[in-house]
Amino acid sequence: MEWHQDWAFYPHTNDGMLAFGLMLEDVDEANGPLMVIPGSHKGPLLSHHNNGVFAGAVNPADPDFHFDQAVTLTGKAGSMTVHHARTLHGSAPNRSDRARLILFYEACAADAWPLLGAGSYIHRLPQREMWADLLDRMVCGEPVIEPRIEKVPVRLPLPPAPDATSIFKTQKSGGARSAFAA
Amino acid sequence: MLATISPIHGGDHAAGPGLSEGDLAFYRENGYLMIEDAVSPEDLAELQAVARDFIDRSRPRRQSNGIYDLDEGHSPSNPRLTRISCWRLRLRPRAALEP
Repeated sequence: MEWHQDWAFYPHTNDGMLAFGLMLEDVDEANGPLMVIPGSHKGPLLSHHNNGVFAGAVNPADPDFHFDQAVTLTGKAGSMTVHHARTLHGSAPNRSDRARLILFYEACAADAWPLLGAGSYIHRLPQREMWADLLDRMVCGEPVIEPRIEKVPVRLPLPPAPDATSIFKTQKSGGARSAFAA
Repeated sequence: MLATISPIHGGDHAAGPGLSEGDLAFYRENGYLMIEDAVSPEDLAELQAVARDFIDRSRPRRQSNGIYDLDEGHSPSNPRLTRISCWRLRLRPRAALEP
């Protein structure tokens, strides 16, 4: 998984968004641990485009990408990582013969409203189904119809890569350059 | 096993120890957080079983279908997946069972 900011995939009206990953088995240096750049959620939104399409990964040569500051998040099964939607992160290749099962969830503040153009299924739902889905996805609190609009950096993930069916396909078919090249 | 999948909210999780002010401050400053022993051993075991069940169901597949994202070299004897997109089951609840 090449380096990216989740925010680049689904910008909203504010960045009250995060993802958490529950490790379903021990994750160490060898089986593809998550890596993050501390504090990068306060920094710029880096370009995730390559050759005119959304490639879902930053250019390793981007001057705003500070690989030397990366922190590796290893842990025992049952540990959970949390990262902000704007935090730069990636995963080293799994160089072991073990799996790396991690259960990822993405969550956002109720007042963060998605901008049209992302690949999430919600953009394909008719209005009534979208509302029902929204109610169903509420973890706590109430839905809002007056989103909080902040001055956040936004670049839409368009046009999509030739194969945008997953982040892995997006990065591969979009020609993303690897920061993990051996 | 698939029938046991449900949203993570509710249940015992809401009664857990939660995050400390220090955790929240660290998250706000650094944009990430690591929480050890986030779930009970029982819940962890159930989630592992569900995941392994999904992986088993991927064995006969020849191509990705939106739920299962097959990795290169995937085969019935050596299932290799980059991701299992459970959220897509919200739209197609039977999709995990489709050939």
